[in-house]
Amino acid sequence: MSAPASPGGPDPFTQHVLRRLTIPAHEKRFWDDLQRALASVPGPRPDRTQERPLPGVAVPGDARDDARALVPLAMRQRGNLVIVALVVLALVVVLAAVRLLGAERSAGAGPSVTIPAATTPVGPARIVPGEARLGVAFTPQPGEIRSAGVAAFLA
Amino acid sequence: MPIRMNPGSAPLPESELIGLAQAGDGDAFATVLRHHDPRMRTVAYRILVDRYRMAAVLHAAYVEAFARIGSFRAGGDFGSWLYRIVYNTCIEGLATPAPTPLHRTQGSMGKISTASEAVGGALVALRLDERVAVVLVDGEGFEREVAEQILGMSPATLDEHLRSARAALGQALRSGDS
Repeated sequence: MSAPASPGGPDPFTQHVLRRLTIPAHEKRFWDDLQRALASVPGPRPDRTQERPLPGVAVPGDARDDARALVPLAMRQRGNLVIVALVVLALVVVLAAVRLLGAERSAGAGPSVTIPAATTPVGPARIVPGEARLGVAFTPQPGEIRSAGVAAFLA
Repeated sequence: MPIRMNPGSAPLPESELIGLAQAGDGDAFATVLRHHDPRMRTVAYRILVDRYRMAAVLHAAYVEAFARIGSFRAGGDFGSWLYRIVYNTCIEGLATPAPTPLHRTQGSMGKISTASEAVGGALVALRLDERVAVVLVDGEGFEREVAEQILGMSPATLDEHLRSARAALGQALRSGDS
C-alpha cells in the first residue's frame, strides 16, 4: 500500500477508501415530503430574459409600427425623450454663443492686449485677438539673442 | 436519456421534463430529481457524514432548485446545475449544528460495514476544509484547479489539506480492515 504523500491529482487509494463509505438511501417519506413541498412552492421564478417589456417600449425587431421602428429604441420612452430634448437645447445655446463670439472677433471689436516693452526689442506691440501666432510677433535677428543675454547679465 | 415519470408511462426526454417543470409541474421535476439523486446523495453524505442532515440539505436544495428552474437554460447540463445548488446548500448546512450525531444515525441505516464506519468516523474527524477538499478531488474527481477555485484555496493550501486528509483516511481504513 503506497502512502498518499504526493497530492498531484486524484489519489486512487483515497478514492477506494471513500467508496467504502456506505451512502444511505432516503427514507420512504423523503419523496412524499419533497413532492408536497414542491407543490407548495408558489411557482418557478420567472426567467428574467422572458420578462414582458415595459408598455410603450418596443422590443428589437418589433415591426408593428414602421414609423416607430425608425425611432431609436432609447428615444421611445418619455423619460429619455426629455433628456434628449434638454441635451439638444444645450447644444443650440452653446453653438449660438460660439457663433456670436466669432462674429465679434471678425469685426475687430474685441479687447486688445498690450505686451510690455521689456518683452520685445522693438517696443510695445498690439496684438489683435485672432491674429496672435507663435513666431510672428517676434523674429530674432542674428546677434540679438546674445546681446539681450549680456544686457540681462550686466543688469 | 429518456426518463419514465411513472412505472406505466412512456419515457420522456429529460429536456421535456425540465420544460414541464419550468411550466410549474412539480411531479415532472421530482422525476428528474430521482434520476440525479444518487450522485447528489453521494456528495452530500460525504461532505455532511450524517444521513438526517443529508436528507434535510437535499430537501432544501431540491426545493430551491425548483424555485430557480426558470433560470436553467435549455440545452444546459442539468446535472451540473443541480450539483452546484446541492454543493452550496451542503456548505451552508455545515455551518449549522448537526441534528443528530453520527453514531445515532447509523442505527437506522441497516447493516453498515466496519470499514464504512471507520471511513465515516475519519471524515467526521477531519477539519471541514480538509474534508471538503478530499471529497471534491478524490471523491468527486474534480480537477485540482477547479477545486482550488471552488474552495478559494491556494495550490499549497489544497496540497496540505489533501495530504493530511488522505493520511487520516488511509489510517482509518487500515484500522477498519484489521
